[in-house]
Amino acid sequence: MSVGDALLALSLLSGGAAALALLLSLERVRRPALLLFASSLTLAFLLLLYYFAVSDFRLYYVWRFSSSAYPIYYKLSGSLAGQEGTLLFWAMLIALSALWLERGEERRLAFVKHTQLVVVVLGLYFTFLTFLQSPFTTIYEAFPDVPPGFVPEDGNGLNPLLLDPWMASHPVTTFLGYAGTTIPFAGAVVYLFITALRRGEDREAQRLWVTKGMQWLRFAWLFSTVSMAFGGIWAYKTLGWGGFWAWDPVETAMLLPWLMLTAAVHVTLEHRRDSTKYNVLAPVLVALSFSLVVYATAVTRSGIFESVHAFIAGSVGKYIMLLVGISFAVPLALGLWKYTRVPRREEGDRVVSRTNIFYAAILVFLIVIFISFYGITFPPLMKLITTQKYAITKQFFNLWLYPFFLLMLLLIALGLHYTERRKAEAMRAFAGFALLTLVAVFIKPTEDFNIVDYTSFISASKPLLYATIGEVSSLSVIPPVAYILYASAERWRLFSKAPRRRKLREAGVIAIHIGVALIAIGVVFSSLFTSEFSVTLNKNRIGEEKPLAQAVFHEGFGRLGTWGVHQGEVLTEYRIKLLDFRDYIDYGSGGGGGLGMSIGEFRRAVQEAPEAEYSVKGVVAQVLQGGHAAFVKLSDESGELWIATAPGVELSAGRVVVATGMPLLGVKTPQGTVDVVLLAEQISENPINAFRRVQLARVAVYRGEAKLGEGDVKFEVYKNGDARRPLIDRSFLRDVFVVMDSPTYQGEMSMTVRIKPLINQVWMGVVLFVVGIVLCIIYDTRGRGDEA
Amino acid sequence: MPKTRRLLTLAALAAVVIFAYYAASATPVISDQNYTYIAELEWYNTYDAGAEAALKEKKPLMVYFWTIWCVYCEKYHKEVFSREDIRQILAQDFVRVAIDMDVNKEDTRRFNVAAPPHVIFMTYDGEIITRVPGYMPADEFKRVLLSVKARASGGAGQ
Repeated sequence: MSVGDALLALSLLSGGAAALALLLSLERVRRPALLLFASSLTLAFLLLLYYFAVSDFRLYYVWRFSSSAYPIYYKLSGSLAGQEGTLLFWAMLIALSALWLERGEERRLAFVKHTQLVVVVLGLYFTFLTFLQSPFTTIYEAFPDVPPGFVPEDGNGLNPLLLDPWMASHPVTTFLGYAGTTIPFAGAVVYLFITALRRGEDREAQRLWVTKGMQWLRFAWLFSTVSMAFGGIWAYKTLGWGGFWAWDPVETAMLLPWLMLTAAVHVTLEHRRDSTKYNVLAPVLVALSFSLVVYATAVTRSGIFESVHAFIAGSVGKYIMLLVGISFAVPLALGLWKYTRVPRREEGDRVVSRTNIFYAAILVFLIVIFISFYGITFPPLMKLITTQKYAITKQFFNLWLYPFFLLMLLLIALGLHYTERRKAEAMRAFAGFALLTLVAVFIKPTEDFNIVDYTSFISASKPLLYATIGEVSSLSVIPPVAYILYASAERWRLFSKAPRRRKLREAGVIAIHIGVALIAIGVVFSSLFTSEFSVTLNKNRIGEEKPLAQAVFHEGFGRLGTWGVHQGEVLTEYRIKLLDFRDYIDYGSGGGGGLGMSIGEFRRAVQEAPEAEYSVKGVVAQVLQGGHAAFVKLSDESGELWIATAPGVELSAGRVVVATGMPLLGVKTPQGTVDVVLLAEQISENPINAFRRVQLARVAVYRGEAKLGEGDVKFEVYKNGDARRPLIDRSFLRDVFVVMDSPTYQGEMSMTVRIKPLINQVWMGVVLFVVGIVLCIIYDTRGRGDEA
Repeated sequence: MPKTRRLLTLAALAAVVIFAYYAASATPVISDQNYTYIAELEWYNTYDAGAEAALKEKKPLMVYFWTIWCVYCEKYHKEVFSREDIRQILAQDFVRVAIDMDVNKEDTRRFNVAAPPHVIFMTYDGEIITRVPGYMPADEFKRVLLSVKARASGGAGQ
């Protein structure tokens, strides 16, 4: 057994011992067992990081997700690229949170012990999954054909789309957020169980689940937000279609726990203010955040629901699905049990009250969660049952969610504005802004303001409801956003004279909500009012300018003024200019040393020593198959070279190869006699995965005489895939986004140019949101009943 | 539960039920057991099915890798495959295969495709003529189609 697997076995044993100690109150075993549980998992994860850092390709997991030519941060980020590593990381974080509960004197309390027990059991479950699918499996175990002692020259490498700093940080933040929901889940479940069992509230349990739960809920909320933002920035930079959100199953799955966390944080804060309120709903929603986290993992990794993110289908899928079932069933059943057993205090029923406004907002959140859940669950479910695939596209989500999105924004603003003392004022404002929203629904300067192009995804029938929602004007988002800003200002006025700590916490709350307003505006208008142009440039015509004709979508806020240019119209004032073009091989940070020389180096060396064996690397430019030999033309920046090799060689143009063999002088090729060819017995395709062929075009985009943006657009071809690296030239109100759609074809390259307005407002909103949560965490007043 | 909140709950439940019913009945089917329906054409779901048909019909093969959420794929469907002249060429001169990368992992791995959209053109006996990774606008795409067609009919299997 390897060291890694031994550490995993040790953590299983110590975790089991910790669980027993907690169950049987073996106080002397408890702490050492917990310490051992957490430290063995931490050591196992550090060991995995070490294997990645030194590129130990004897490990199957390292081989699959790393390459020796990567810089260190991509090497380390490989540790979270697959299921095995993420499960280990997750198990480690859960074990560490179990240890966190050991702090202080409260560890002696029954509630903490029981919560800790649930946390340890969950940690054990994940450790068990890690053990089943160990990241420490060697290639000799994974491939029985591999001879012992063989060490691969290089790893398989990450999908090139993942080679991005944002993506390198994305899984870390994701799993910090995910693991942060464990203690809230455990606390909520224990609280529900205790209070249901006793048929009444328990002061100690109530106080502890709220304080411990709240600390971790905010932490989870913070990291989920950051992680989604990182994922969005990555998608925007890397996927090349110019957006940050496509409602693909993995993104949507991650949105679910985030939405639930948002609802849970709010409802738990209300519960903290008045413990008689939401004493079933709050713990249930808190616990369901964890359930949805597990569901998100199932969508990403179980192989049952798949998207391009699900690079590998794991064998532990069924256990994750089992956990999904349990984690949903337990809190729901306990919630129902408590609801039927614990008598409730009779409340007066006022139609308009803080409680009811909160409740309505929570319901809208739950509807949004349900629709998103349905959108990712229905197609794979139906696929399993009927083998038919239903086309749930991004328009489906946009269309169904938009009305609830507006309602949600209005209720968020009202929740921010409302105090019992200013009830009348708040209700007047709410009614006013709601009315404005309704009016704005019908204000459409052009058809481009339609919220969704519903015609594109619905078959010829065009259902009435879709047609109706699709015709809603996107201007309708402005009044709710204006109300959020107004309510924020009013709230600030109220708290501006509060003590410093209280004031800073309120600043956090306001920052979060202004962040939401900015994101709402940015999300709606950046996607609807993007001007998009297709253009073809020829790599040989440096300096050529082309008008950007055919606005495929709309022209809108590009310069905050001109709208309403339709598909097919020529916008001659926009131009693109090709400043430079290069086609080269990038050998990564390792330089590809020792793995072949360039064509220029080869030509020089042959003059000195024509009898030696050479390895030459280059891009396949052409392949000619003959009866007795195949001729492969290689090229790089230093020239071209013919390789003669065995007939039937399978190589496609554009691939990076290394050819090894002896030079032959003065040879007849299908294209005439050349001075030298390489007679290669062996042509290996791209031995190092970080090697890539890069086509780089430097372009500038103009509007009239003004230059809107300039920079490099790249298309990279790796052994294991391609990556577009667009030009993104940012400014406050818009981005210029240019992407090469595919590599050059007969010298021509097609590019898509986008002028994207208000996209940076989305990122600014996210920053405000994150700053807000941090302020709330730091300056939480903690006490109860001290709020306005 | 007080009356107001009970009403709110019922309203939310009603909204959810209406949504689920309506969405289930109004969502179109994009593929079934044998075919995928893109640009009002039938596309085989697997490479093997397409390869068999290509061999029988002696027509070049277009293998198209896509997913439902891929924005460029949607653009392909709307602006390229649905354009009448291109649709005609696809319908008459090519055997079409559409690989849903979310579903057909086997063919995705087999052809080493990392991201949608991705098109591979082959002769009827399965030799790769060219690959188009990423999106290509309609005019260029048509040029590729015509050149593939010419090459495939001029020297099939070469």
